[in-house]
Amino acid sequence: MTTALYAATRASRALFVVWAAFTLTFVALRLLPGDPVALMLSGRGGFEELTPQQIAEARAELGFDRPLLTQYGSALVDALHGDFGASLQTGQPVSRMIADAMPPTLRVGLIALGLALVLGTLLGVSANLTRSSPLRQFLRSVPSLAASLPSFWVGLLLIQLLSFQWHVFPSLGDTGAESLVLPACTLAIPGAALVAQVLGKSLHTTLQEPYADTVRSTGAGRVRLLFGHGLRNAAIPAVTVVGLLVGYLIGGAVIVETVFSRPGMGRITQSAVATQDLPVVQGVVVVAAVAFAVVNLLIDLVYPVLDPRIRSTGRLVAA
Amino acid sequence: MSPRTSGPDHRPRLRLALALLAVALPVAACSGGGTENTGASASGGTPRDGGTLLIGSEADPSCLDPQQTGQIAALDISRSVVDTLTDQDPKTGRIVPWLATSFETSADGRAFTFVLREGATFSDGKPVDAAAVKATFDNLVKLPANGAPSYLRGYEGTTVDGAQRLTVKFDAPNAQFLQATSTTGLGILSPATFSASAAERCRGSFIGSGPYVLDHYTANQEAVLKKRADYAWPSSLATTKGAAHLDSVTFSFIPEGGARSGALGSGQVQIAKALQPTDEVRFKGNGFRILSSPAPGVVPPLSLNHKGILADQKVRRALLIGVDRQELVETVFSSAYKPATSVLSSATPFYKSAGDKLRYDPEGAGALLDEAGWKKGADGLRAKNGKPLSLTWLIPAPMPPADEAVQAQLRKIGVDVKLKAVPPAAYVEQQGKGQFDLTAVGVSRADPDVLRNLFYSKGSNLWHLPPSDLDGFLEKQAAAPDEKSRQEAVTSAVDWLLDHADTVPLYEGAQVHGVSDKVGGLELDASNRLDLHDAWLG
Repeated sequence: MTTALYAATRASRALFVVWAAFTLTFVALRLLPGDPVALMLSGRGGFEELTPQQIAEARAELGFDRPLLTQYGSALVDALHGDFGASLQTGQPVSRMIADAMPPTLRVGLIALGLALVLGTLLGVSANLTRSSPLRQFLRSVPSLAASLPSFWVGLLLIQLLSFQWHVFPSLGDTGAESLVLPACTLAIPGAALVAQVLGKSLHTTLQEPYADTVRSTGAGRVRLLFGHGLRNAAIPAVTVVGLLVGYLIGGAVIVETVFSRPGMGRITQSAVATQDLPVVQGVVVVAAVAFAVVNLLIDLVYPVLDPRIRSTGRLVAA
Repeated sequence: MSPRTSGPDHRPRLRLALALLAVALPVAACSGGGTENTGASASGGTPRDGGTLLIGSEADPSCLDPQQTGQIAALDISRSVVDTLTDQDPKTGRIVPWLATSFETSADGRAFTFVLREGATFSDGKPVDAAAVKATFDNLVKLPANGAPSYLRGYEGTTVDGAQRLTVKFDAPNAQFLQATSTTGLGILSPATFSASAAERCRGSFIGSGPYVLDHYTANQEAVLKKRADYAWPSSLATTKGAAHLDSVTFSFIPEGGARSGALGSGQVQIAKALQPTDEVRFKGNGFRILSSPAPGVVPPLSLNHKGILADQKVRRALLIGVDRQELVETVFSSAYKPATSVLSSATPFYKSAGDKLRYDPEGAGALLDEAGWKKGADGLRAKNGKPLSLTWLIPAPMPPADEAVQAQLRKIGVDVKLKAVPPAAYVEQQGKGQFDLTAVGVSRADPDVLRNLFYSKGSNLWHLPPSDLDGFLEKQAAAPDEKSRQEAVTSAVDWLLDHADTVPLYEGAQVHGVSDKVGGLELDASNRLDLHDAWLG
């Protein structure tokens, strides 16, 4: 019963996050200075001879002349049906644009996520495994160094060396597995750093808890202590990081898709924001919010499996 | 025609404007200045058939329909898909036959009769006939009157006088129309095109009679052209009389300038469009060459709002002669760019140098400001009655480096220019409302009628110009019955603009592309569009 209640609370919180993202974006976009309709009409290569009447007609046709609350209501109802209207710039249905842009972004994002988890875990674990103090110091400082590298710079560096100089990987497009390598690495490097930081720290803490001494007193070695007990106990903070990572990857898509000339959610977001293409921005924000909320919901639901204390109280107890 | 802001990247003022990078844009037709090829090239070899040409394009056009967009990134693609009634010779600016074998203008300058060649077909198999031309123009005027539709302002209709003969009529003399028929925006489309929605046409559902057809367009990734094997009706300027040499052409959209030039250097593309001035030197020789051509039309200027401080002609004059154009070009741009010598670029028909009026004279500028009552203070900046001589320059983000150079130059004569870079959406809004002292709007087109688009006080008049004789000159050049009277009217208009310091021309922009020596036969047409019909891969 408590488990069900726990799940229901978390699920409704996820729903609330999505609704709030939708509403806040709606309000923010309408508050922005600039008239998206005038921008749409004037954007295609001319600016003279646009009469206020033409703009007014277009506004009415697109429904921008209705009261704000009416616009919000119908937008919300449509959104619940998965309909975000048509892009002001391209005239295409937003849902179609997102459906087209999603697969390339997901491909890079999922690979980057996997890479970040593997690399980050390796780094976090090895920093706690080694007996050599200088090496430990070094391994501990790598994550904060890597985390501070700007993705844009990392991407340009990788492209310069591995594509332009050594011709190992293509620098552009979404043309197969080899075109995924550089963008995925660009995204994964700071992500792995984040995982390594959190996991390394929490492993370090875990290994100093009293139970670790108990395990040690049974004659267990470093490796058994770490893999047999430490990792499991240190997992909760690391799992939390996955939620953050997903948010980070969604944001990183804009940079990676620009540097590597890839299609995807980042590119449509970028141009939609620049041109105040309200329906597209709205659609993208909701999709991103859903992704973020779902991942975090899953994480919330995994917690009780990892830690029975959460199952009984319904919330995470402070360690 | 397309508006343009200053800067080597020619970013469009309005749409796109990626948050991180510059994008490309403008131009609609040129003449005069021929294209320039530096370094060795394959163009001396014998054309070879076959192959796929890979082009790194500066932006995703997001709309490909030439009737709906004037963006360079789009027209470079659609130019090869649609043919036009006429072509314009890049060297002379002359209008020459293409789909129309002959054309004549009525004595009153209001009616244009075209005789079409026989045998041309659209890629859907339908003939290119008078009815198709009528359908093209009749549908064009239904679109908002900016870009290509504005060329048809005053359109009264098209009469079909037989399968291959038609007459287009206007309600007033229209001297710019003939040149307009050579621009991609007035390309002739199959009537089947007009059953598609505007959005579908943007995605590529338009049917032309060009040497290539659009195979597919994937947003933010690529547009691919395939050759039409049965093509046999090129422009009278074309060297290749039959089908194109290349099997296909792929435009990859690479917004990041460094990634574009890197892709060219590493052989991942054979053409990198819109090179950054800093990258140009890499591609002079070493198996590459630069293909560049000056942009025709109104040069990138400081556009002056004739309200507030700049209502005073003395202050405007001070800005006009207080800018060192030579230094600007040398420090910020490459050899492809030149200092402005008129309001129009030297690649525009009816251009005449007015370089004398633009000579750098900092002392003269200082004297004018002194006369106007703006005295220098201890910090070197000027003020009048406690009010600083401070001008706001409205810029669509991201800011081009040229703007900071101009700011530094004007500071030397005591003018404090505040650079205000705003998102493109806000830029359009604030410009429309006149919330600026300075902006930079040039318009590319190989016809002097662009002056009327910008400076006619009966038009949108963004600069708040007072009605004056200028309006008369602009009307006269639009209605001129012959070249001599048109030249007189254009020269009068330019002289008026400079004598009253109504605008401050800065530099002549250019299209600058990096091209591998494997590519032969590639030229820019009079509108600075890539002409792929003659191109081949060695």
